[in-house]
Amino acid sequence: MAALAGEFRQRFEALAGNVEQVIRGKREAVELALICLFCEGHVLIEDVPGTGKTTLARSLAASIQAELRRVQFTPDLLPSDITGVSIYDQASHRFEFHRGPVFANLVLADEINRASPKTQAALLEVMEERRVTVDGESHEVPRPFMVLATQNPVDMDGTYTLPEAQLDRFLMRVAVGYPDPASEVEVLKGMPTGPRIDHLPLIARAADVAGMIDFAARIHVADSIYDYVVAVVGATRHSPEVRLGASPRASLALVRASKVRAAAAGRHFVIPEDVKALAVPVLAHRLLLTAEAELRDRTATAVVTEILSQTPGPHALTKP
Amino acid sequence: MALVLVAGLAGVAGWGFQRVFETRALVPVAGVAAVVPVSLAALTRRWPLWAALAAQTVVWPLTVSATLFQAMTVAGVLPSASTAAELGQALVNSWRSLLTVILPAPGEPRLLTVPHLLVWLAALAGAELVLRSRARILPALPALAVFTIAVPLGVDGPGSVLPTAGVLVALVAALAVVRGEGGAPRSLAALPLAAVVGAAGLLLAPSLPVAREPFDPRTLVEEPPVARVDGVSPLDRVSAWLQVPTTPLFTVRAPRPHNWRLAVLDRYDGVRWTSSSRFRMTGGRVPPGPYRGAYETLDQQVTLEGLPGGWLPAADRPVSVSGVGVAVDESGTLLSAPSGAPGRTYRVSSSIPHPSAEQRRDASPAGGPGALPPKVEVFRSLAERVTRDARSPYQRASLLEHYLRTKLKYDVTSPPGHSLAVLDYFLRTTHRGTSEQFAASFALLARTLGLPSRVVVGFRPGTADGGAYHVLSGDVLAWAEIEFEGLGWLPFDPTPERGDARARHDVVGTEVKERERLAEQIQASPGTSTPSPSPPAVAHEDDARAAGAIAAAVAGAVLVLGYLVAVLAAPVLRRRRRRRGDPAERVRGAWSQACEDLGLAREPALTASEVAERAAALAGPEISPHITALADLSNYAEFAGRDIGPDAAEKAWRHSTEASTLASRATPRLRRLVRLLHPRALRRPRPPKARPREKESAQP
Repeated sequence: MAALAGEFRQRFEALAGNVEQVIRGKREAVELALICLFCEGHVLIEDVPGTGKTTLARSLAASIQAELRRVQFTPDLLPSDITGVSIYDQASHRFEFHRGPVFANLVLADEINRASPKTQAALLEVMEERRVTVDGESHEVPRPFMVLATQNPVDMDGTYTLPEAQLDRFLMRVAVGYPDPASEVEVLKGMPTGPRIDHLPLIARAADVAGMIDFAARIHVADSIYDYVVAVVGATRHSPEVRLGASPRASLALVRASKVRAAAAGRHFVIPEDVKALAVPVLAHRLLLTAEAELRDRTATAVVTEILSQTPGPHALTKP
Repeated sequence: MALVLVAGLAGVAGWGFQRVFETRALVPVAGVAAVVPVSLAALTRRWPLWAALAAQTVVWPLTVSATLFQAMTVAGVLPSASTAAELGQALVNSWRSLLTVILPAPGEPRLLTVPHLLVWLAALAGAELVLRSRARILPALPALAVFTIAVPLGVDGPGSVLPTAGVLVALVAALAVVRGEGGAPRSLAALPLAAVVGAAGLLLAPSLPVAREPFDPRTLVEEPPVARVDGVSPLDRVSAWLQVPTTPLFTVRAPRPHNWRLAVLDRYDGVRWTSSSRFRMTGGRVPPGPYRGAYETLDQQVTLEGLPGGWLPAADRPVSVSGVGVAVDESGTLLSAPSGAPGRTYRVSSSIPHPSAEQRRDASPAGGPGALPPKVEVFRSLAERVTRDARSPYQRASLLEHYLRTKLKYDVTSPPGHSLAVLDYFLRTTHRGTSEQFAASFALLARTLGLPSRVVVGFRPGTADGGAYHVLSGDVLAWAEIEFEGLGWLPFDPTPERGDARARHDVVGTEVKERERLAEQIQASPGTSTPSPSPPAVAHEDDARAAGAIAAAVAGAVLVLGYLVAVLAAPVLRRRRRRRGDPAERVRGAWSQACEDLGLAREPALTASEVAERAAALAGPEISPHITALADLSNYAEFAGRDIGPDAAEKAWRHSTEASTLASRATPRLRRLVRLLHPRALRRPRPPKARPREKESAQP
């Protein structure tokens, strides 16, 4: 088990390093996206344009031998534009299903908040169910399946905010952020000569990725860690600043992500660090703050951080 | 343990009524009212709260009737209809009575119901809070509230509530520590801490900046009116009585003759002497005066015959009166509703003070002289001229008395009155007057010299007749009194003797002789003109105070020593405990020890890498490898779900010791010392409570 964990760690490091050749100085965002991949979860990248959201998705797809499809969401996009349509074939006199862009390993849903709620719902349904149902027929999406949705938090005109129930389906919300000056200089220098995404070496085949996903699910979690997760998630439900706390789905996501992080560190067991490091990206976007808290400019990130600093760790929880 | 502390708190808070009630009446009440509800709450802790409260509501009247009102109960326990009525009356009216009664209040069931109910409620609230909540200090608040009610009620009373307050503080501290923990051994460690806190409170409390005069709620209530039927001041009657000297006024049966005191007048406005007393109904008890020395007891039975007005004669100072409803004031004067029917009989028991000659010689006047009317320079210059040779305040008064007795004449026929004009005429022109003028002018002259004085109207002992003394109107006598520190009001009789004084058992006259001898002694003794700085009575007090201070110092030293031992031993014991157990426990212990030595024990939300960061910031980068290795081992032992070998535990302790050494080297000495002596060292580190706005997170 420990040896396998070491192998997982090597692969993970190699993948992260590979992607980092293209997208500089964003190790944390890259690692979070990779953790989402091995949890079979979806990630919502919320950031201003031009920070490398699409590049991240493309270089990730290039590193793991996966099919990447991109959908640019617009107000006139229809659900069938995502899932696909049944078309009557004159020759065979039958309806034939033409798969939409959602049938891929990695789906980049750009500016997801520009489409109508109906279209958003269609995508979110696929994210949860991992199958598309058209005319009573189900069509499975391939494995691994991961949606990288992006949205621009600044430009609010003509957008449809994602409802909380749907935000809940994203395992994490990640902000890529601007690169620091040194990395930005690197990017500028690397423009003509750096490795292009098309030339990125392939690190893991689809089978390897599936194996890594299965391995991460088998990581050991001590009972006190479960208690700690429940304590942290429970605190979000009781906080006076929060109108809607995190759901059990959130606890589940936190445990799954923690397992992958533990494996990525070469450990066969989860430690409180894993939970604490992932709590903000996994929980913050699921919380609805009260109006007063929002007026005070409190952010969900700050609330979760405060809860973490006040919840005794499992060391303390196991003490008699 | 917490329940015992709550009962103790309520009992001690009830003991805060010590200045309102006498000790023997209060102790059983406070004890019963503190213990019973706590025991009952412990018995009913499985019941829903409403049922427990209902049980308390039933048990309280039963307890009160079985203890306070036992005389009126059925079979000694069950309240009868009269008990219920009395209890209802007590609940409605006793509050007012407590504010108007003279302190210490009599131990009547009616009045004791108030502290009983308050202590009961405090004990009940505290016990229920202990049993049904996790609050630490909150269960002590009801008792503290009772104490804050008790203290102002007793502002007028004797004694000090400071020790009680100290005990309360100590109990609250003990409760806080006991409630913060759990488990007897650590609760015991709380006791020295609590004692230190209590002692500190006692030492600091007297130096707190507070108002000089404590708030007295009695100033807010109106006295129940006492009928003052007698509109005429007794001093105005003196002349009239002397003119018609054969009217029988009253008869006293007493073993010894004494001057019978009737009324005390302490206010002079330049026209007449009047009384400023506030009379209160006390059920026949008379509050004790300031004198605490030797005294003799004199029982009298007085039968009124022709005495007008509501004043009742008695030997000074009365202790108790029976047979008639009386109101009394601070000076011990008795007043009753005049019945008009002669033949009314009552019994008085008096304590007659007998201060020693030394006490009187060294006495210093108590307080200021009292208000003077304007334009008294004539009197002041006379008084100063007469007393210029005096060496002590007492001698000054004696010289005044001697001057009036020898230089002026007693004349029954002189006109009545004691206004400034009359007294001026009496002192400088006629030199003749009755005891009305003698007493009034003595009191006025004494006030011009700065001596607190007042006029007393009473009677000479009267005509003896086989154990009874018949007092006629001609026996009326006014004299003056001056107040001295620790001795109270001492009488002076400036009225010259009459020829038949000895036959008529003139008590005051013989005292005058004694005073004159004393004055000669003072004159003869070499000394300064100021009273000696430490009279014997005060010396006793000083001795007592010194003994108390020594006892307090010893107790404080013992407490501090005990605290030091506890606070130094606790970490050592903790460390030894952490090194025991299976390897996983020892690894965990090594981690806890390192966190504690880094001062991070109270931050359980930190993860291993955060601890490593803090440690590096505190003790430099060389500590990082130790903490990191220790964190890995501790994480493995705690979360890997596998067994860990004993050599890993040894390794963990090596790293822990190394890290602790580095941490202590990096900590400033002063902070190390503070951490060493901090009460926190007594307790095992526990997660800090989330801030109040954070509700308890769901913990297993």
